[in-house]
Amino acid sequence: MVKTVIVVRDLIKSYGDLVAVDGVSFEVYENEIFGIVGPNGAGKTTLVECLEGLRIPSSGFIRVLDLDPKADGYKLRQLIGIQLQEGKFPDRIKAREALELFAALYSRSLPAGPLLEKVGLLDKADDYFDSLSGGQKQRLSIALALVNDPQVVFFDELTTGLDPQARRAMWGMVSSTREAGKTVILVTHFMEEAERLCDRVAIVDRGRIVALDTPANLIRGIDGGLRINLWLDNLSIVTQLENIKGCQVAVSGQDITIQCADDLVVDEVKLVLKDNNCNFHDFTVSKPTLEDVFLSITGKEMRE
Amino acid sequence: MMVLRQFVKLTSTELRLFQREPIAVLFTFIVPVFFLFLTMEVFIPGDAPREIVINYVTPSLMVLIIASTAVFAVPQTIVSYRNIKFLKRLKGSPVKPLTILSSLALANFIATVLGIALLAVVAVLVYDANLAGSLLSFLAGFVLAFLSLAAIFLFIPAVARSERMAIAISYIIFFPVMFFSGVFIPLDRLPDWIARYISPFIPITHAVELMQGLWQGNPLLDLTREVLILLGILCLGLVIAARTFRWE
Repeated sequence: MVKTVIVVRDLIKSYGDLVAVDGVSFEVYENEIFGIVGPNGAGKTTLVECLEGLRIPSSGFIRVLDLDPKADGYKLRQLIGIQLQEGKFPDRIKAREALELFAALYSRSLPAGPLLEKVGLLDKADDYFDSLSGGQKQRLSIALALVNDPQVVFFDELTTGLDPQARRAMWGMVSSTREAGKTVILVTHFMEEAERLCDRVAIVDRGRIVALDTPANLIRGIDGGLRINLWLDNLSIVTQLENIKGCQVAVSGQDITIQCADDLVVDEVKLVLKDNNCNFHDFTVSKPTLEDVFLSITGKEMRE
Repeated sequence: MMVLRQFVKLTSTELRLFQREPIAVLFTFIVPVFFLFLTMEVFIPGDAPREIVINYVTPSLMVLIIASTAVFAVPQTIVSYRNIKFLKRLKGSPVKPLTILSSLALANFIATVLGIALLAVVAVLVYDANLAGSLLSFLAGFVLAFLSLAAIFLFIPAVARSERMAIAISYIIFFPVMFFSGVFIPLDRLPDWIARYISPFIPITHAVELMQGLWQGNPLLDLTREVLILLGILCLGLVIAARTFRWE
């Protein structure tokens, strides 16, 4: 039997006329990485800040670790770890000092040294916050979110603004946080991140959850098949390609995108190209991603 | 016990950060002593009685230290911590908002006390300044002056959205106020209309009156009016702050 650590029912948070979270219900299970994804301004941060007790919901029911964030805020904050979107620390605080400060705020906390080592900042322990790189700052904020050895950890846009290498390092740390037995709530507008890391993903758009499942099920659900991209020298073959059953061809200059229902259709496309001795290059076959899921559910691109 | 441990750690961390801010250190420790030197060595008229001047300047410069904490250090710290979401992150830990704010106040109070102590030591040892009143009532007056000025200028972080804006407001307030409140120029040397219609409405003026009166040995009872006004300012400042304080 899987234990439920977060229960949300009919959560609404509005600011005047603006409804940031519009009737959201879901559950998070123990030791999973639960993704909350969606475009900027979808209401993701407002939603998690209600769970963290940093915002008071307009209405609805929330329990985190069987506690009500509003009524039992202090008790709950002992048990959760928080990393805020774009959250920073004073310029002149040293990494170790920041950890020691937050350690003193909790009734139970981990020593600074091993935590710094865990996030790869031991050699930066005595550096000022403002001298750390973007990735190092985020490592520190991870360490700070773990300082009270929490049961549930919230990461909000952990990798935004980081270079790919630093981003990968963050992903490793999120995974190892789960391996340490914690439940992780990962807020991101970065679909690839959610797809890679999350056990289940809630897709949020305009304050509502429009889909919630494992990334694999979500992708399977949109019936997107496979996509071929290639560059064709001679466009005369296009009509023949369009005649293949289960095939949709889009032409943009000499860039061709072919949406295929399944593997067999892909093979057929390859066969047609070969039989006609076509000159083509940059041939790629890709599976649909969570971005495609978002597009198919909401009818719009993630990034505008 | 938990609250006490949080309070001590927050205060000591804040003090540590304070002494790493060159501007705060400059205004709390260096500038007041420099002004003291400037007044006594450069600006002082040849025929002026030195023992009267030093006992006027010393309490005035103490108010300068309090004012620079109240107008600059505290509001800037709050605006900066709010903008980087440090206040919000602290709130996301099991610490009461009052613990955060009072630790911020205490750290700034300690820094101010140290600045005033340094100034007093120089004034007494180098220029023979003399506290004519009782030390206890002088300290009580200092605490009151600090609290009311620190409280009333909490309107700055309420009004300012960015750090730039907060700095601009602090500067716009600070310099005229220093001239019209008796810190740099005695009230009786100011144009009459300023002394009569502007100075009394500047909170700092009353801090100057109180600190000078106590330093020069007037009994606290004679200064009841200033004490009551400062208490009123303190209450007003706290009410405004409680209503307008923003964590993010």
